[in-house]
Amino acid sequence: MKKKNIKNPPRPAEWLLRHFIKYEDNSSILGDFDEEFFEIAESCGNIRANFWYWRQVFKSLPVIFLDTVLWSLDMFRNYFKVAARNLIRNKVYSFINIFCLAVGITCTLFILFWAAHELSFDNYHKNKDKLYRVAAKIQYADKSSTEARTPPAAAPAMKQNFPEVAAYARLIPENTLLKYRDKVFPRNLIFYTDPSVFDLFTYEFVSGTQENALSAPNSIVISERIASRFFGNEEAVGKILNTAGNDRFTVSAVIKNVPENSHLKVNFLSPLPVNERLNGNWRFRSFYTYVLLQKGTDVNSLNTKIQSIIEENSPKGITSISLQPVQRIHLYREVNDSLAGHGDIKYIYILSTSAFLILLIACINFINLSTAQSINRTREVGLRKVIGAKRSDIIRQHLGESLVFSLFALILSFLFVFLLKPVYINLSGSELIINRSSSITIITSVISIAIFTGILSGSFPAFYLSSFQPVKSLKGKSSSFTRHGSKLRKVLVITQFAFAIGLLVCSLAVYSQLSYIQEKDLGFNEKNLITISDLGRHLLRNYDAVKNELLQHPDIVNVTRGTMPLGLWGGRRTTNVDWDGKTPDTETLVYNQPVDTGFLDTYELQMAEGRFFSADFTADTSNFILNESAVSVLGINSPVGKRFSMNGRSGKIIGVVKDFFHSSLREEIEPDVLYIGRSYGIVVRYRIGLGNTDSLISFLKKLWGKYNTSGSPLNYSYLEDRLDNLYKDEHRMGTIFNYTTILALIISCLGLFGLASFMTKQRTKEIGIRKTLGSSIPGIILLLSKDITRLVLLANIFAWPASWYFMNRWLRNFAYKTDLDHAVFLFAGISTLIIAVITISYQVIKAARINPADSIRYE
Amino acid sequence: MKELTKTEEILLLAIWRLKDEAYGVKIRQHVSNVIKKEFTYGNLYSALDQLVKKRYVSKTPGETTEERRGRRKIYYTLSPDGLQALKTSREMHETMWSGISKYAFDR
Repeated sequence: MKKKNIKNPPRPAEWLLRHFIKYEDNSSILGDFDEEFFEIAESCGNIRANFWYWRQVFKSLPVIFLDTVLWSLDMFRNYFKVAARNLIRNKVYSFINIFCLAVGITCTLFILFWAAHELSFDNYHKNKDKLYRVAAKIQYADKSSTEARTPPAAAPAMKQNFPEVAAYARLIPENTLLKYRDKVFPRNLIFYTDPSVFDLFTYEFVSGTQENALSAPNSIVISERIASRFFGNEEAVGKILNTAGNDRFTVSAVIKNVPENSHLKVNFLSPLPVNERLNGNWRFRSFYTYVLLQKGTDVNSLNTKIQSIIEENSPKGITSISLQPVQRIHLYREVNDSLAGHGDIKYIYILSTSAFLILLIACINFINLSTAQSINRTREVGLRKVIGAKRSDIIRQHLGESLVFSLFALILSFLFVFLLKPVYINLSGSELIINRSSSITIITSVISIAIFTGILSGSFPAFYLSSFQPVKSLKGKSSSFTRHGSKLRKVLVITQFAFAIGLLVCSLAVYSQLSYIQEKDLGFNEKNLITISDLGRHLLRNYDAVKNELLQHPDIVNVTRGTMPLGLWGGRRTTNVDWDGKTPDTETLVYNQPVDTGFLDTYELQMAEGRFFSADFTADTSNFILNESAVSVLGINSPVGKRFSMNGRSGKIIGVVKDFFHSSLREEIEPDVLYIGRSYGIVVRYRIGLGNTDSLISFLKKLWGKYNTSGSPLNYSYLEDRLDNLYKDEHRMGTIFNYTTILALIISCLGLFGLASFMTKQRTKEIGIRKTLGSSIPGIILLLSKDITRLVLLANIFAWPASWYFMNRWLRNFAYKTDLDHAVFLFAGISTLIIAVITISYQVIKAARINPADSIRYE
Repeated sequence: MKELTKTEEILLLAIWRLKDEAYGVKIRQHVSNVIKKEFTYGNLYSALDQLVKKRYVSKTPGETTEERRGRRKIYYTLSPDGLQALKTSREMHETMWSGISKYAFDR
């Protein structure tokens, strides 16, 4: 009959219905559907019925769905109430939890923003992918170094010979005093450059035009901040600036402030006096040369091709030239330039790792604490199940609660970031958000990490707890279950502390190395010294006259020659030495430096034996002075008076000078031999107490201009500044490490605090029983602390090897270093132990003092 | 007391009219006929739920049949409040429509 042909309603549609309707009347609704379905099937056939069924389902779904949402909202209100109640009941724990996670996230955010900023240097130039800086490999006897300062002839030669070079721009910086009307502005860094500089670098013009900016000689382009500093609100273009001498500049244009993420912080631009002589000069290595390549140029092959320029012109000392992408300049130390403000790709790695570690510790904390706390809720779960909650409801509840916690932490961390922004700007020297797209990536990833942590920590109560049978969980806390959790918890605590201890050790090591460097006596007085390099042949020829004129100046105390400024870079080396008593066929490498009679006094060195070169002894021009290391390495007994020869020059050793550093503390003091000779640099010591050095500088410049006819400006610097710069980066790293460590320790301890309170609460009954059996309060304290102590000690064992390994590698950079003392490790270990004990002491003492009567009743 | 929405009014009247037959399928079919449009189960049950919440209507579980494959029917009956709501609605309707005859629309 009818029953034969009629099929059942379509399964998929039914399944949809069943899953989306969460009414209590779920089944009767399905029954209604069935009834009508069969009615229609009877009268109109199966196909019509199917059609009707599907249609009904689809039309009904949206409304039903909405209803379900509204119904869930009701449930959420209940969950929310319970969660809030939980939070208030365990105020301390909740606060610790959220706070720690927030701190971890804040830290990560700051570091990631900083890293993004550092990685984004020079990416705002339109030509960024075609922009390269020319570096020259300079050969100094045995050692060679790649430097960014090149002769001015290099760029035009490249453009002329290689069509791949579309344009070039050279820059040479000079510190100049400027005056406007009666206002004086002492140190201003002016970059003299080719007008093509605007074709290479992207600078935005506020007033004036790109075409005219550098067309007239003595014009000067200034940045907005300079314009407002010098001229306030007045129009800057057209104003005249005077120098200390008789030069004047006319402001031709104003550009927007160069973005923070630039390796070249330009505030002043002025045209180079470009002429044939400049373009053909291969001797003065004082220009920063940049080239703009054609699109699609093969840089590697171009690199090989441009060597032909060097072969053709054989500039002195230069063995090869290379192209460095401008975007790499900031972070990669492959090329030496004297610009401040370099970052280092290494620090990005180190800091990112630190950020990751802190975040890891914070997340571990969060998970640990949440998991521990949730054990207290077994009964609640059991109750809910009895009333009728499904497992999915419980899961949803706990995951939701956990997520809410982590989202709270996220919001708190945003608040922290906002509040701490000034501290960050101070520390890093730059604004927080530079790049929009990378900021979005960072924020999204941080949000996802917070969500992930929330889910992970909520998973334990959600999935594990909800699997229990209600009866069991109502009866009491199952013991096997607590044991399970506690092993995981122990592991987590150990991990946390291991990281924190590792960071502490690194921090201490960096700190001690830095203070060692600061205090280490360099062997000479580095203060009040100005070095002038790239003398050129005129000054060399007239050195004595120059020296005399310099010494006439009231502020100048001493003058000497020095090829490389002491304290910065090594010098020439040779093995061509011989002396009385030398074992034949032995080869030793010694440094040698051409100096003059003023060397000792200018650098304020000290003699160990004998005397220094002096104008009174004409024979001194072929004599030698060795440093202490030379004497000991070469093995010369009573050197003074012995014959000595080097590189074809023969004479006597007239004295031994006390060891001094002429390179950074990263290297050993090498044997050094001093002799009277010519060098390309002059060092000037000015008197102590000379505050404002501008008149001195302008004097130097005038002198320079008098003897130097090639037109290139004076290249000078303060030795102190250059030395400071050497270690600036290590300083920063030290500070950052310190902060990181402190944060890591705080988070770990807070976590430990929360855990301790939980663990001691677990054992209240046990403590009560022990007390009734006669245990004393100190005895109980000892018992409870024993566990924690063991964990921290274990953490130490894990942390020591790793941090030892990393610190050793870092210290290898320095020839002169503190020993990685066992003291450092012991100190870190013991102090963390003490901190841990203090952290838990509050909880432990409180627990130990409870009246046994109360605690045994508890449960 | 808030006025009944059109849907609510129709539903209440349908439930009243259907008396003992006032359960899901029948109510839906009746309403669909009256408004001459397809009245989906989604609309039906959400509206019914609202009415139950407002206590105009009460639910009673019914029997099962073979066609429903073992699932129960749920019968709906008007509560006194529901009756009152209908009465108010009717009064309002009369007031508003008084004097307008059937033929007023033919002009």
